[in-house]
Amino acid sequence: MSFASYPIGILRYSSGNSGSVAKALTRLSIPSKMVENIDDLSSVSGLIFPGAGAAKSAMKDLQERRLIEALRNFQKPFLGLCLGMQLLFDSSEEGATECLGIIRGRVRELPDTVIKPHMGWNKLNNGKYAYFVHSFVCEPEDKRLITMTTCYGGNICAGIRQKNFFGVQWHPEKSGRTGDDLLLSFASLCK
Amino acid sequence: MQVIPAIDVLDGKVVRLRQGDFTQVTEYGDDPLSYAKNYEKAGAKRLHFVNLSGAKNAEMSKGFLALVRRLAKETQLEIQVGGGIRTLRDIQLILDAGAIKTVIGTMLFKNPEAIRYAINVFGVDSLIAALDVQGREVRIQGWQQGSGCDLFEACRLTEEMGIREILVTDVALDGMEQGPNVALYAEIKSRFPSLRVIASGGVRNTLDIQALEQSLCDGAVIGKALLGNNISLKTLIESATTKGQIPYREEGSSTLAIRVIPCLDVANGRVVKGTSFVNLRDAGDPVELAKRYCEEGADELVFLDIAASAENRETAYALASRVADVVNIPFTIGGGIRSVEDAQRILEAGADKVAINSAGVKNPALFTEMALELGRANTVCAIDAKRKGSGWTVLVNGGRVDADIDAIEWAKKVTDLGAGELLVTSYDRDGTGDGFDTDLLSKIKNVVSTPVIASGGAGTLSSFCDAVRLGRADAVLAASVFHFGTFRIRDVKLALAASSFPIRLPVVSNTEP
Repeated sequence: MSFASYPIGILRYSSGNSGSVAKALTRLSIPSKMVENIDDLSSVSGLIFPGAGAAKSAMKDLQERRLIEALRNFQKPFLGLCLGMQLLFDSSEEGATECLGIIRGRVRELPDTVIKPHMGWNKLNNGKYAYFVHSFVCEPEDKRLITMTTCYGGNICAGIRQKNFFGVQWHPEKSGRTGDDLLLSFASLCK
Repeated sequence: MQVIPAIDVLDGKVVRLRQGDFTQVTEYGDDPLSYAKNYEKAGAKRLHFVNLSGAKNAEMSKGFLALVRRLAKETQLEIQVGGGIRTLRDIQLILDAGAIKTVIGTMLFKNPEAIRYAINVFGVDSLIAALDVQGREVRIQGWQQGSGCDLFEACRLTEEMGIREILVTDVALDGMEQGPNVALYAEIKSRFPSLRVIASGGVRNTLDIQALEQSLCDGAVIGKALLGNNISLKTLIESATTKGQIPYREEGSSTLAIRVIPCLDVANGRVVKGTSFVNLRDAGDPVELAKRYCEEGADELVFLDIAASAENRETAYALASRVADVVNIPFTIGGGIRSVEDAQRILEAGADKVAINSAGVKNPALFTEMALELGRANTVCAIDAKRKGSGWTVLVNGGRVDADIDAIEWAKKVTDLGAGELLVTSYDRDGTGDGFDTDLLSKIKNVVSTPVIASGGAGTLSSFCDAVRLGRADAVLAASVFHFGTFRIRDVKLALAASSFPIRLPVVSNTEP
């Protein structure tokens, strides 16, 4: 498989596990580069937005880097991972945080009836297993944006897409073949 | 069974072809939107919308996409679109125009890689496989070519790809109004009960609808009969005895897989417990072994005693980074980590979790600091427990020192402080092969709500099942039985599956170059 001449950008900021994502892309021979500011965004074919940690500090960091508007207006394929997907929504219950507001809806805490975090390998509705680590879930207003679900105390959103903005609640960089397939699929959109 | 009206458009006009023949076109005006609105009024929930120009010319025109957008905007119909979809980009354009599903035919055979990509990025629910058959052979390119693929083989391939919904058209009967091929649909449903089957071709009247219901079809597409004004859609919809709609998305009912975890004990950058993998270049190299286990289907890896001394800590960072280069599953590093800074460096190097043992006994606040700074999910407490009196005591310094703490109480305390997971090793059972200490595990499970990894004593395959059934472990860990090849990861998973525990069984690459 051949990829675009421009590499895929991986956003490096305080709340990301950008290193693990970069290693995964390297393993899959997908050209990538770290992106830290607005100027870097012009020289990538797509953007992966990793996330680990808390919503509030992540948003604060994005604000300090003056990346919020640039991300909202991003036109190329965009893939948010875990917290990176949650930040695409209007708001998160985690620390009552206002997020990027690209996708209508909010991020809620998992109910107290289940063990938090939801951690481990869970089956997606496409039959494949993916590795999850999270305590908050996305609830889009338009359920049709949901691309995949899993079951944890009820069905939860495991993947989303609105136009060029994609997101998965799980960690493709740690999800074996399932994750490799997702990253390769995303890379094929980055032309 | 759901009755789905069809509208086929060619150069902006509503048309019907006879048996897919572009030279036998009947036109029904140039206003597909008013047809769609009438169908909606008659009670339709879904519309099968076919781009015959696209099927003929293999291109997605702006005019057609504009039509889909208008349909999506001006009706509440769930629109499934077929015809001329050849690329991932086409699928995206159609979905973005407001369709809920794309109907894929030729692309299944000509570009299966793109279908797999589409499943990953747009979701499996966004695709319907269109299998147009003549006799038993699937036809492609607007029915003009044979695919060389048998229908049932195509069903199997489709199911294997993950697609759940198929639309089967008997080419010989389409537009002929001779009735559908009910026997064919019944056979598909009996062979592939988990596929949702939509019948297409030849449906004339309520008797056909009832016959298709008998064959267990999930849906029926009706085109020509409606346009000929022979019968009303309302009558057809009402004739179906089961009014169920085909679900937009089929939700699973999954539970977390029981994780199977090989453990690598490392000292000075080398695996200390020997291994009998003969075909490894260097069986003592933790990175090679990690890669091997990952390929064999391990769900996670644990490296222990890796940073037991200060100089080894530097080795541990380098090792974490090298492991992260080659594995695509999570891994935990434990042993000798004393501070949040140590843990942070391990995680930054590419590890997913850090296990704390002795340092946590000395300074329990470490669990809280780690949970706050790095997250609970990344904070594992390793507990080495030894039977003492009627309970268990906690051992530290690699099992050499009795900390004189009750292991059950300790488990409760560390999870309250911030540990997100417990790695519980029975000192008494470790290395004996006598089975996990299920009593210890279940007593800990009684007082904590975090996941528990069972360790120490793995022996027979049934011992793994006991750890889960009796010990209620969320994950099972072993070293020697894997290193010495007594079992492979897959053996343990199959044994767990045989005991009805959920497992993840990835495609295993046995053919390493």
